Amino acid sequence: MKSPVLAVRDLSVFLQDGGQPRAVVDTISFELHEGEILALVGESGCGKTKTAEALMGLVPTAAGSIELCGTNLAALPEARLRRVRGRDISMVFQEPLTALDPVFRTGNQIADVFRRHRGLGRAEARRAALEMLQRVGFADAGHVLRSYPHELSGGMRQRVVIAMAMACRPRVLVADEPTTALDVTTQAQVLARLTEMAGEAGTAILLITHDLGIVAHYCDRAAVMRMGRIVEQAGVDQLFAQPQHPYTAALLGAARGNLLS
Amino acid sequence: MNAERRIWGQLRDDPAGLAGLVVVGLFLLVAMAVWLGLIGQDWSAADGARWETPGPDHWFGTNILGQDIFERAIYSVRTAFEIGLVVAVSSTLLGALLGALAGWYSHSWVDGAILWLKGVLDSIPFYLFVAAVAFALQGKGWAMHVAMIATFWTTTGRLVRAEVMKLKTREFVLAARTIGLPDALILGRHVLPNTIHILLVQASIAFVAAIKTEVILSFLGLGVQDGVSWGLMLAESTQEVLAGHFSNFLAASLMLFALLMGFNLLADALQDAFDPKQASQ
Amino acid sequence: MSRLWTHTRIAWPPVALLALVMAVAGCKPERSSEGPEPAYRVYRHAMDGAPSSLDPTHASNLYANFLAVNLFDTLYRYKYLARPYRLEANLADGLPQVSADGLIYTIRTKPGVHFIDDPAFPEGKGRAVRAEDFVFSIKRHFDPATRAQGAWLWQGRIVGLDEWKENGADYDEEVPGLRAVDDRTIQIQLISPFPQLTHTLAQGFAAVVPREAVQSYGQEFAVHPVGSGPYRLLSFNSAGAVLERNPRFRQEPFSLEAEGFDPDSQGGLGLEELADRVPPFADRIEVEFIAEDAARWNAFIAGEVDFIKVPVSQFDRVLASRDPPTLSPDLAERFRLNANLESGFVHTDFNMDDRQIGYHPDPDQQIRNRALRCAIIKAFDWPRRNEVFYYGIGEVFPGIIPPMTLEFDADQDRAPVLRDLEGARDLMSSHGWHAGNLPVLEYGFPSSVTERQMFEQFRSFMADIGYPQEKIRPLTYATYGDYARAYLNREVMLTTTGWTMDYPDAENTMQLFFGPNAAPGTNTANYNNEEFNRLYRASATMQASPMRTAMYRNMNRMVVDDCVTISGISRTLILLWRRELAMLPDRSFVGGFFLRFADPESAGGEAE
Ligand SMILES: Nc1ncnc2c1ncn2[C@@H]1O[C@H](COP(=O)(O)OP(=O)(O)OP(=O)(O)O)[C@@H](O)[C@H]1O
Ligand SMILES: [Mg+2]
Repeated sequence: MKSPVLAVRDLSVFLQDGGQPRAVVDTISFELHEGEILALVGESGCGKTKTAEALMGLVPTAAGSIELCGTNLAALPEARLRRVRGRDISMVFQEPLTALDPVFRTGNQIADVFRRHRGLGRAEARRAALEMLQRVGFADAGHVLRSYPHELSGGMRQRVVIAMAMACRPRVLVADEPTTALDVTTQAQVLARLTEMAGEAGTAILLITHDLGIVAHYCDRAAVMRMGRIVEQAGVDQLFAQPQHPYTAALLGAARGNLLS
Repeated sequence: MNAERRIWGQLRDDPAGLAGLVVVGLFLLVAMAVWLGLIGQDWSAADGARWETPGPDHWFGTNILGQDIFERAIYSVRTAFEIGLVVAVSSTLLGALLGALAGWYSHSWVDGAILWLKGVLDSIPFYLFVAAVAFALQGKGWAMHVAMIATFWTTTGRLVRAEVMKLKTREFVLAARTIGLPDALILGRHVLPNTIHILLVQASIAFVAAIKTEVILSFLGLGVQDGVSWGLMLAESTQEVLAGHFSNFLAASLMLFALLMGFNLLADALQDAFDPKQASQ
Repeated sequence: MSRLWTHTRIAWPPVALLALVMAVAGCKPERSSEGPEPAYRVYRHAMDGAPSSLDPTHASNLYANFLAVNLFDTLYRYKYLARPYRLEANLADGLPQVSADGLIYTIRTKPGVHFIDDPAFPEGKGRAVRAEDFVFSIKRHFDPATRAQGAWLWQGRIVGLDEWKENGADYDEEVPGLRAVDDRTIQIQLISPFPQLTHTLAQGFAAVVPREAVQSYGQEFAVHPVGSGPYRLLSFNSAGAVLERNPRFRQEPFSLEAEGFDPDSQGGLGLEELADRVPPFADRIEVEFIAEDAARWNAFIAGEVDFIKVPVSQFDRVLASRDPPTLSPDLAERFRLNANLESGFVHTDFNMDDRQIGYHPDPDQQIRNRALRCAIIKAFDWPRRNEVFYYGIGEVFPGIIPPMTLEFDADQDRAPVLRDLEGARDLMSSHGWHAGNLPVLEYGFPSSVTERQMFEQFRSFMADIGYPQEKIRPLTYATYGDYARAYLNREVMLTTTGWTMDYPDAENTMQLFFGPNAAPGTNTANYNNEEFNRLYRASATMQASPMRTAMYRNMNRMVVDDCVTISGISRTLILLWRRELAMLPDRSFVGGFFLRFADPESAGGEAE
């Protein structure tokens, strides 16, 4: 088997909650291979977003390593980390409205990524942004380019965010509930576009979600998280067929119950 | 685009705000005309008799030296705008910069240092501070600008700091970080522009405060050194009103009053227009 | 040299403080005028400031000096009525005997003079005043423990006095140049001739105090004066002072001739009727300290005080004419007026040390600079300056010998103070000056409304000869102290100051332009003319004489010809008092000495 693009080992994140520091991510380990889509599931507040933020270096990690293609991001200084972010690893946020700067035209925000990581000039970056918008499926990409975020619908915004995140064809994409805020049909379109682009670019995805349907439909493997720990990790088929951990079973049961009712 | 149109729309529906805008606009025109040398250039010439009453030659009469009070009052509009603009722009920029740094690096030593500086400046009695700066700068005309900028930024700084601390955790800022933008760029392009509503309101407050403060400082002899201003005219009037000469006092105080009223109305209207509660409607 | 400043800014902070204290306390000096016995005569005086101490060694301002010379005796005083001012023996029994070389002064005091009764003396009885008391009183100025303010008058002048200070100021140690030969004979030995010495002995600083009282009261002596002057203190606080006639004061009948009475200008004030009566004429003196102009004026109009120096803001209402100043008819029914010309003058000096306007190593440029200074002086509009800032009643004169001195020449050429725009322009163009190459003039002043107006007026005068407005810049200072520091550092191009003379002898204004006195000395123009310096040195040791006067006038002409200063004007004070009072008040050298001659009654008609 090839070596993983992302190897997370014994990662812990502590947060000051009131007085005592508390481990919101507690010694978790997982691997992500090229082109693979790993689901991270678990109840609300179990530490999924914190895990994602830790991978991006947005929150300080207390222990463990995050190896991206052999480089430990957890040990990188901020300046080096900035060169990796957006180019080798990028992220899609849960809420597409707040993930875009309200006073900035969308095109400029995408162009920023190219200027920053590809060293493109203003005009070239704009052209690259336009192309990127076309690739996430906008017919009138030129219009979107000149729009402010509040002038776009939720699904459009999330596609803009995806365009930003995929601009540099990163090795790893962390997608934190990318479709939770969208209606069901839009959800499907956006996810389809995302996985398709990732497939072309060979990008591995860590897909954080509540939705077991999405897990079953799009993901290769799944990790189940509970109170900061990963309690079970398996191929999707196996997980659905034979959950090992009682919590996983309960989770599946709840989902099935939902489906039945 | 949208926001600007909305603010315009709100202003148009607000007669008081519109009146304020007209008054401030008129004063601005006068200031520009003085700047361009079209009017108010004879403020220094002493070609009248002492304390002439208002008449066709001297619309507001003359002062003790025989200088035309109308010319002086008009030239003072320029003085007021110059001080107002310099202080408003500089103190707001300084407040934005220091507030943003403090907010972005909150609870670090940077934040601590800026908060300490702000605390020190806020605790010094203002006029004492101005006197000290004036002394340190040996009567230089810009001592008062320096003193005002150095103290006026603190309120802006506090508000911007709080706003930046909020913005910092907003996803678009995190998103900007996840695409690898450096801090300075994120601050300058994504954080500060989102505090513009605070900056505009604060700048308009600083503008008014600077004009008022100039009058008081000039009255005390700590303000305008070369030129003329409403404060200097009021200072002059204190030696005249007892003897029954009111022109200096009336000209300076009425014009000051009109400009401040206009600006307050406009600032209120702007504040309403920027109010996030209304903006969300 | 003297540092008895200058402009109208006399000790404002204490005055302001006092006003505050009075406003808070609302107190008034104790007064018994409710039911005075008919023979008991009270004179009530208003002053615009208050002394903080009554100790003669602290009599550095007008107010302290005013009281000190009434509570204590000085060897000399000024004649009540003679103008220009002239010395008169007071405690001394005649003018000093001066040795031929001008170095040894011998002074006899009058016999039978006693200090007032006070517990400080054995059995509370005031003892006779002795020559030794004078020696002690002068020594006090050189005793660091006294924190005295008058030492500058005698510093470096009296043999052994400075050494006495250096040796630890031991009062039992003799000073060779300051001795009591016997109980009534004082001998002063000078290091070099100092013809103005006698004038210094007519100041409150030189008042005679008894050693017993100084020792027994210590710091309290400042509010517990024990002297031999015409009055003794009843009460003193921040609102006023009450003085009572000293019953043991020497009996010296009033003589119109001896006091220098001039029937032409001083007749009709009731002074004639005072002849041969014995001062002090008032039994009681009430001095009220009222700093605020309006309050002082209201008190005067309401009849609460008998005398006032009229605030400038009231000139319009008070004066019917200006030249000469006369009272408006309604006030003339109740009051009399005296226009009191100051002993000093206001002038604007060029900084000769500044190459742009003063001396220059290149002789041609130096000539051009002089032409520019002369042109500026010609462009100065004195009548207008007088009109706007001195109510048109100041006295403008050319040069540096003010009208109130004996040496003033009333017949001198007045051209230097007449405006001559054409002459000024000619001078400029013939010396190659035009708007493009004129230097930027920096005109210094402490930030205040009046000083700024004077600056703006100067700038408008200069506009009339084409001096561009932007080339005349204000150099402002937050306080008078900052301003003084700057011009004493020679940093100011044009310095406007007022000089109040220390004694009525033009030597005191001549020294303002003596080269070696250049800043930080009193010569703020930094004028340095060999010939002037030579004449000053020669005249400085001369007693007053026609020859010395001729030398002064010669020096005056040099200053005028060299265009060193825009000068000058002597200000006029307007003094008012109730008609019923037979007196001629004075704010200058006579100052407090006039109080003993103030008669509340004899001009007839009890007021109110
Ligand atoms: N700034 C913070 N300080 C302290 N605790 C925090 C902070 N942010 C989050 N937490 C806590 O950390 C834990 C993990 O939060 P996280 O946002 O990772 O949950 P999540 O699994 O993403 O939940 P959801 O599904 O609701 O998004 C939660 O218990 C939360 O209360
Ligand atoms: Mg989350």
